[in-house]
Amino acid sequence: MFLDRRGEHLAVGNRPSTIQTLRLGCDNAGKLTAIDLKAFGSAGCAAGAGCAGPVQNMYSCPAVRSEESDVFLHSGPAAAFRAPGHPQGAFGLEQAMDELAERAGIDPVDLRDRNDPHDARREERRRGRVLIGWDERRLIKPGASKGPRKRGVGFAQGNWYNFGARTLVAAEVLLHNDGTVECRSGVQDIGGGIRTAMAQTVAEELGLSPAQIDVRIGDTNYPPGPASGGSVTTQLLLPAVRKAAFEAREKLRKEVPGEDDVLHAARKMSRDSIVGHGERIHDYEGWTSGPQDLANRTGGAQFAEVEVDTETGVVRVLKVVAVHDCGRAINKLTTESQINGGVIQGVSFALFEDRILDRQTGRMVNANLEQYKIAGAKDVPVIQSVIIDQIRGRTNVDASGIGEPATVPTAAAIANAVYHAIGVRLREAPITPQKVLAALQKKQMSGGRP
Amino acid sequence: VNRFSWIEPEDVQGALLAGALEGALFKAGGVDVADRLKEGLEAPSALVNLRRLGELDFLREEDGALVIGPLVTLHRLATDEKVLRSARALALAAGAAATPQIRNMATVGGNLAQRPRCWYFRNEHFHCRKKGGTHCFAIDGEHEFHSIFDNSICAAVHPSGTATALVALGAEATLRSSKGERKVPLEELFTPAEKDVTRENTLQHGEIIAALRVPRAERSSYSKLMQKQSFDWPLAEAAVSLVAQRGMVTAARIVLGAAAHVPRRALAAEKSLTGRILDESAIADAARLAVDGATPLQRNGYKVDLFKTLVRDLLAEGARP
Repeated sequence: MFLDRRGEHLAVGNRPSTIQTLRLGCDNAGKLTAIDLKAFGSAGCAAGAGCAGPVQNMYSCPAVRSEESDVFLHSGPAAAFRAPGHPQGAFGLEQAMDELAERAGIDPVDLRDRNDPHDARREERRRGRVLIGWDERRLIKPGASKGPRKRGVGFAQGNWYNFGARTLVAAEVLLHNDGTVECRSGVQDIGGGIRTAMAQTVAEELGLSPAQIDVRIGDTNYPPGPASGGSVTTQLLLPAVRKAAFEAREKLRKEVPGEDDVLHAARKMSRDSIVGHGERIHDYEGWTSGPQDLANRTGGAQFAEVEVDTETGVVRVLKVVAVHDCGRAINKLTTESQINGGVIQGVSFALFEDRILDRQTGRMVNANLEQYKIAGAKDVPVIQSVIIDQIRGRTNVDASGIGEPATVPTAAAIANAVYHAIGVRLREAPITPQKVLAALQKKQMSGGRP
Repeated sequence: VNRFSWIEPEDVQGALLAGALEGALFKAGGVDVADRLKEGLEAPSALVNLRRLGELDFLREEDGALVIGPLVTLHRLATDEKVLRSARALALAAGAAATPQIRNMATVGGNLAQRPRCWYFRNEHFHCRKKGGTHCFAIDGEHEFHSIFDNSICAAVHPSGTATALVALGAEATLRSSKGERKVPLEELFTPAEKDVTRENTLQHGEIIAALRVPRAERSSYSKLMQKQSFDWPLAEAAVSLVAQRGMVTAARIVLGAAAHVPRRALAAEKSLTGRILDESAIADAARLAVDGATPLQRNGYKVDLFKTLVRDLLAEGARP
């Protein structure tokens, strides 16, 4: 069954919205002393609207409290939407961190350095800071750039879990006596390019090139793959793929001893095919989906440059520097592609996406792609992505997820950049021309105080 | 979408005869017609395809005016040398519409005759005034993109950017049906809500825009403000056409789009410019007067400022040598 666009909007589920109240405290040295979050959220019914992930897990802080309530409405179901809760949570927390930095007289990136013990995140901030020209750009005080079109740069970060397998995840590799190689798993490709990563993994194990591997997926006749969710596909499936390739090769060695070239050996087999089977096991040293400490997380740091027209309220994102880690990036091109997609979706969250419900009837009035706005070609900024390999020896491929973490910090970084540009903080997404003009007007009437 | 028959006429005369049939609907590029069918706003018994009628696809200069056929695409208007030279506002308006793909399909006739994008009008669940109902849902509902002038009956804005430019350029439309032909200033083709809220123009059933005559403009321009920079309807748009002698304005037309039920002439602003040197104070006065009489709704007052900024910038552009 195919739904039309309106059906998709109405019946398939939406990212929950949140209303967050945040209080943050730090000592004179800029060390966080407390984080307190009270949040209400809703998309309608079903699924949680929680957004406390970043508050609970981003920084080391002795006192963290989060109190969240789901509000139920008759406005359709909620759904998991790329890093559930995190873009919203980061939008609140990372703006609050910037406000705290300003009050404490500490550079916002320095404030993160003092409170985030994660070594990868620290390196990401360091690299991004240089690439966006942070130290020079931030010499301009918020709102102080000249002319009606003001530019600013902002920072935000995010992190994400390393979920273990909750169900059997498996793959098989078949060597045929006509010299062909197949890799099969029931996994699906929702755009991440898992076929390519599977071919690469098998090719590496067998000493072939990826083009020589015939990858078959998306069929329940094949060994079960992971569900798409939680950014787990690559990191859960590839260890099983490599193990299957290894097993197939070992069987071939026994069948055709003394022939190192896999394809030559396969052609000499007396039987039609050899099958190697691999399952995902726990990470080495026992890492599983159990309790997660900060050090076990992947994530990224993003820096955004924006231009805000103070006469029209129109915000344009000019550039995003996105520095991310995801264990070992199996394929740089598809990894960068995930970062590009995450940033673009983050731009839409920051500036455009808005499910507008008629206040009298609760009906969605913009259930189409002309009025439910998402970034188009001209709205996409220059995206400079940097991938930091984190080689930790946890599995036979050492991959982690990137799909969700790539979109977590973008909107918060844009909001912080808007503040730097115009000296007024926009605490509500999307940051529309109407809201920018209203905020500027309010500032003017209060005599320049934000 | 209902079942309908598809009529592929041989010539314009055949198209007009077919279009006169009860329940028939003309289709040119099909951009808006397809939307309306899918949105359940129309259930025609027949679609009369105008698109392949070469007779309606022309663009030529005639006695100091441009004569434009209704099937000329927005892409062609945006890029044609003749249009850029003598009707720059129209080229800019056509080029700012929608996306390159849509501009390749959309025709100027269809662009002028399209129905409003008001999200209540477009939603079959809201039986609004435009559909014969008794209530405008936008006025006490979600109206941040709605009209700021003459909005007490219906708050939908006219969707056509080329209409904004063509009214500023003083275009005249030739309308044709199986019964004959008439000519009207384009400005008068559009209908205020108080006259008939169920429609946006006075095209009769079976009548098409057969040609547009656009007098050569000395100086004209158009500008559109959007929340997104790709594929977005305007928050506000405006077109100006100026005639000046030795720096003094002798005639001015200023039109606001996405402002009212029709492309709205800013008459007070036009009058204030006539006889004045186009300096900073004249521009500021005209920008202020352009929104004179605005009656913004509760949540779209920001648009008033957008129009002031647009008109100011367009006039400042016109003042440059």
